[in-house]
Parts: sequence; structure tokens; C-alpha cells
Amino acid sequence: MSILLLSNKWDISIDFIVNILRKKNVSYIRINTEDLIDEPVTVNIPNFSFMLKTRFKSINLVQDLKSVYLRRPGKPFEFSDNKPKESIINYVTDQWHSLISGIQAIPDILWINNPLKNNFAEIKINQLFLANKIGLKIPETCITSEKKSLELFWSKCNQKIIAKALYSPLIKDKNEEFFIFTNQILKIDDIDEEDLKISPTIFQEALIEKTDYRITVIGDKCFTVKILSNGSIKSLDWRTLKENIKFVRCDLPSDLEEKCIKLVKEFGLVFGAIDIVQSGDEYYFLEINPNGEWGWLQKSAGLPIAESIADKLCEV
Amino acid sequence: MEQPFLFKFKQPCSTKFEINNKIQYSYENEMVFLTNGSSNIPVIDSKGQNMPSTKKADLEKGEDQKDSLMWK
Repeated sequence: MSILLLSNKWDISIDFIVNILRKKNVSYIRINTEDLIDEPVTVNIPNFSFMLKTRFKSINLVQDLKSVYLRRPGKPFEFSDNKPKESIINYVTDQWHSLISGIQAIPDILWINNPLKNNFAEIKINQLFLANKIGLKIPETCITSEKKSLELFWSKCNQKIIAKALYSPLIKDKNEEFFIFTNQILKIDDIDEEDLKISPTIFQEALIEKTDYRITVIGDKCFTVKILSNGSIKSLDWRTLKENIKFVRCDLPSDLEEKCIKLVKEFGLVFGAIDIVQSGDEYYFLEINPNGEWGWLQKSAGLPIAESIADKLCEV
Repeated sequence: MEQPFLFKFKQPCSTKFEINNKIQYSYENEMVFLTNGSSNIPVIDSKGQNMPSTKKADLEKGEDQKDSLMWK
């Protein structure tokens, strides 16, 4: 029985997994999905079979698959120098996406993570609701497109609030890209009602003096790092600190880590990357990224995340 | 014309993954290798700060990209 790794060839993180599986002599197949346009795939129904071939391996997933790691699937033509026109790219991408999604028809497979569960867990409202339900403390939150509601929330939080994107803060224009970090709102009088109305925004009570933690959950295991700034510059959003930042392995109170493990399970996930902040004596859940990156912690913080993921893929 | 409220906070970033001649994907070994003259080592075994970030700038030092509905 084999493990299927779905990613792209430049996914360094999954190289850690490949390395471990090879050393364990475990049967696996790595599909860099951007290469599917060059590698034959055939599905037959009834007499269900799902044949994948790469340059060196072939597999009938229906007979031989036991677990899937859904990492960072690449898009067709993504790394090509000579891309076809956009209509072709979009069409081809959609067809391959549909085919790969069809792997879900194969029963009794462990997914890290199931794509439908991932999509559900990506939604911030779902995250905050469930986190609160299982007993994780969350910041006061208001998601709104209405200035009046924002004004009420502003008063409720003593004029200390932050704003961030409800989903995917990445903005792509033709030739440039932008990112929206978490920002503190210093005044609301000059906020244009129409700008607010056009799309909902998530506002939360500002936790200014805080310590950030990243908790990576794999099954029943929990790996935590504290995020420390070496320099004098503090930031509301540590991702803006490109330098002078380090990640130190640590433990959090056991009940907090247990709730994080429970949250991942409640979402039907195996893996989750959770952002927690400590402000005063309280720990607050900010968000979970169900397919969050971890490769940056494997070596820098010495966390055996790859080993744990590989163990999980093998244990079925 | 209106723009979403948060757009006024946007900061430039780059999500473009630069493939350079110092790294190469090995289909036989199914990993990325650092090509350094005569010796090829897996990038994950390389030392120092120069390990390339992944396609999604996953060092999370400024660029954090969600899987928009899982690659769609």
C-alpha cells in the first residue's frame, strides 16, 4: 500500500517528507500536479481504477492507496516559460482540479487534510465560532460592512481595534501584488461608508502588548514555538518583521494545547497551524490555517513536524 | 470609485517564485537539489540562511498566501 504526496516540485517542505519515507523504505508516489499535463492519468468506472504514472512510478490508487498528503498542488503551466493563452490555462486547470478531486471517491483513505474539511476550516467565522465553543478564548470580534456597526464596536472596545482581511489578504493586479497585514485602526471618523460597504472586514479588539505563538497540530501531537523579535521594533503583525525574528520551541499550558488538538479534530482535520497570542495572563485564539506552512520551523526551531506527518501517513 | 476599506493598508509584496540556476528538481530523487559546482546536495540538507523559500514564500516573513479554495 502506498502514500500519495500531492504538491509541486518546488515545495521544499514536502522534500522533508520524501526524505523520511525513502529512508524508511516506505512505498509512496509524489505527484507534482503541474506536471500532470505531461504524465498520463486514466480513470475507469465501473470496475473503478485510477491510474497515475510519473517518470519512474505508476500506481492504481484504488488498489494501492492508503493515505494522501494534500500539500501545495501546482497549477498546470505554472512554471512554464511558454504559457498558452489564459482561456487554455483556466480550462486545463479546471479539468485537472476536477480529476484530482475525484480521488476523494476512493474509500477508506487517510487525508492530511481532506480538501472539503480544509475549505470549511479556512473560513474565519467557522474558526472563531468553533474555537469559542470548545473553550478557547477569542478576541471580541465584529465582521461587518456597515459603519454604524463598526462605530458601536469601536466604543465597545474602548477605541482599540484592529482590522484584517476576512479571507486571503493577497491582492493581485496585472503586474504587481500586494498584501494586507493586520492593522490597528486609530480613528474611524474618516472611514468612508462606501469603502466599508463594498466588502466585509473583520475587526477585533486590539491586543497590543502580546506574545505570539504558532502551534502546529498533527493528530494528537502539538508543537509550539514562541515568536520573538530580537530588535527594538515591535509589530502588531510579526510577519512584517523580515529580520531580527526568531522562533523558539516551547510548551504552553497543557489544557490550551489539548484544546488546540481538539479544535483540529472537531474540524475533521489531521493537521492544523494555529496562531495564539498571550496578552496579560490570557491566551487568545486568533486563527487556524488548516494547510499552514511548517517547513520554516523544521530546521530553525528543530521541530519534528515532518517526522510526525510521515508517521501519520504511514500508520494507516 | 470605491475600493475595499482595507486596500488603503496594502503593502507591495512578491509572490513570484524565482527558479535560479542554483537549484534543480531531481525527478529521480523527487527532491530539490542545490547545485554547487560538482556537488549536489538536497536543499533540505543545505546549511546557512540561503535555503530557498518555497513557491508560496512560506517563511511567512511578509507573504502569507492562503490556498484559495485549494489551488482553484
